[in-house]
Amino acid sequence: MISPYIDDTSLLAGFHQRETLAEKQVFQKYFKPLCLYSENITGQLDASEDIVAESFERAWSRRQDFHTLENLKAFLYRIVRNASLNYAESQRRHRTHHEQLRYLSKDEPGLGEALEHEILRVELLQEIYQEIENLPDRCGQIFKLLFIHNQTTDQIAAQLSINVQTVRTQKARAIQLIKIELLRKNRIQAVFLLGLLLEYTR
Amino acid sequence: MKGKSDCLSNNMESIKSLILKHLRAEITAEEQTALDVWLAISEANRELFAGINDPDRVALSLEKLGRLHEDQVWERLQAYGAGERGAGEKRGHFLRRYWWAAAAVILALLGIGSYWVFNNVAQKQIALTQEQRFKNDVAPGKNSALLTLAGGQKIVLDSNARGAISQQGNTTILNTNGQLVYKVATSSKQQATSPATYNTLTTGRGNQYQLVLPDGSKVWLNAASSIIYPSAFAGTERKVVITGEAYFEIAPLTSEGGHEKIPFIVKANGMEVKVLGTHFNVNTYDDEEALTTTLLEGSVKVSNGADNRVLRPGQQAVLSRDQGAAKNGGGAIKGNLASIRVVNDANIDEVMAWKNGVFKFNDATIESIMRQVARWYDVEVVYDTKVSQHFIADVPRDVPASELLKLLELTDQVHFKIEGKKITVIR
Repeated sequence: MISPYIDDTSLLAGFHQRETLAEKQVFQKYFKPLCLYSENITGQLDASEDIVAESFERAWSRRQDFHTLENLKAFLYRIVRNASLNYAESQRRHRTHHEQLRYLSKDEPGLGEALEHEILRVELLQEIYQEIENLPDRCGQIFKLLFIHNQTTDQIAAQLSINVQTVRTQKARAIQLIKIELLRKNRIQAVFLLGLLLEYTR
Repeated sequence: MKGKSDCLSNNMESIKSLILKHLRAEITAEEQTALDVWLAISEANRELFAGINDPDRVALSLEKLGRLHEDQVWERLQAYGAGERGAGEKRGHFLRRYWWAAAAVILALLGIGSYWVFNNVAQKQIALTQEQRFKNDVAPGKNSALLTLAGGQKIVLDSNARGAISQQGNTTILNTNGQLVYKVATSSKQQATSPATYNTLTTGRGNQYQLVLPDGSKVWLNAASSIIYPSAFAGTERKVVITGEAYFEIAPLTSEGGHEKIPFIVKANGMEVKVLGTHFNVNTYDDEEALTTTLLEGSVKVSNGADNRVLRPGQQAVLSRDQGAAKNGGGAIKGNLASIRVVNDANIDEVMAWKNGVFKFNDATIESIMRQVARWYDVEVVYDTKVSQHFIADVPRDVPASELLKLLELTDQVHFKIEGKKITVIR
């Protein structure tokens, strides 16, 4: 998809003018990384998705306040972070047993280095995800089936009476294959079978 | 006006680009240097890099991304935007309260829907569903074999033949759990003089078995294979004859005086493998293109009567069959004195897969896959179509045939019909 917005400045301008395409691009640029970022704090993907959705609404309602796209991004990460920490804290109080909060930025709020690393991490993961989504032909379909359509993981696990963690482990091994083979732009002619999944059915 | 955040963002974009290029193995030397510089700066940088290169962690994150409902959130955001233009924030709150309810319904439908879409796409191209084509399933092979003693007496080795099942001279033959053991009475000094009595262990299609020879050497016998061996080793060499496929772990043996190592010799259809003590796999199936010996440990000498080669671990000796003879169900190796071909860095995992209880196919044709399927599941394979695709797969052997076939079908490059003991390969 070719974007009519040639750079961040024109994208933001479109956003200011409530152009749907601009809004959509801004949303798609930040939605996934923000969800991963939030989930790392809350440990609950569903709640994080809700938090991120509300954060976008708040950004939407003050759209004219952002002078650069970076401002908008910083705003989103800041409120997502705060909302996520609040949520995690409120959950901790309600929990009957202790669970560790997975990740808390060691630094103060704002664009400290730790936050920047975390943003880099989630943005990289978004890129990798997008590359898998864009894989053509059967290879891509199979990988998408197994990596992206989560209900299939559960279905496979249920079907074979193995636990989901085992399935995930096998999928991780297949990621190794992605790195080496598929991201070299389909150099390999063979078709992958992810029968790795069955390896622990004994 | 460029602020600090702008500088940071440019830097981040370039680091992102370098890391992705590295992941894709497309990074230039110059770029690698830049990446190395960044990595050297801090532990945090290295930690980030390690994380992105860790398949387990990446897989976990990708899975989470797959569970997101981006489209629904976008719809909600658009609705919010519309409300924003109209009645203001109140409508936003209203929407929020009911979002999960609406979303839950949509999600449920979506869950079933996308699975159906994928399945339907696959089904469009074939007339019948898997359920219709797989009229029955085929159980995997099991530990079973037939022992033929020197006198011609045949004993079926299954759960009914337990413990000591026979005595041959000073050797007791014991059978437990898929393993036949020849135990030689240690105090005996008569071994060298008593005449050798030969036994044969045979596996049919759908069987496999393990054998411990009188000298302690271990042999794993694949389906449709056999081994002829003496009930006690005597003399200056240990000799066995095989058909089919076997994996050996040979115990070293020295002569009575302790001076000389007694070699172990495996003969198969014109190929002879001589070892002193080592681990290797011999494949001599009639319907395969060549006889091979693959060495895992130690040292073996492979000869075809005219030529010989000494293998190092990881190497494989290949003796090509006369192609015409192979089609007629078994031929000796090539008549002319062609040399033995040695392959370095043989794929040991693939060669040893059967012994490890798995099927491992690496860029294999459907024919070579189905040959192994035929032997292990004891089925007949018929081809209705030609499949040019190659396959990579890794599946256990102790599952019914439908599991392997279902996985092959996932590629949408091939489909199967199972009817009794016949599997048909169709488009």
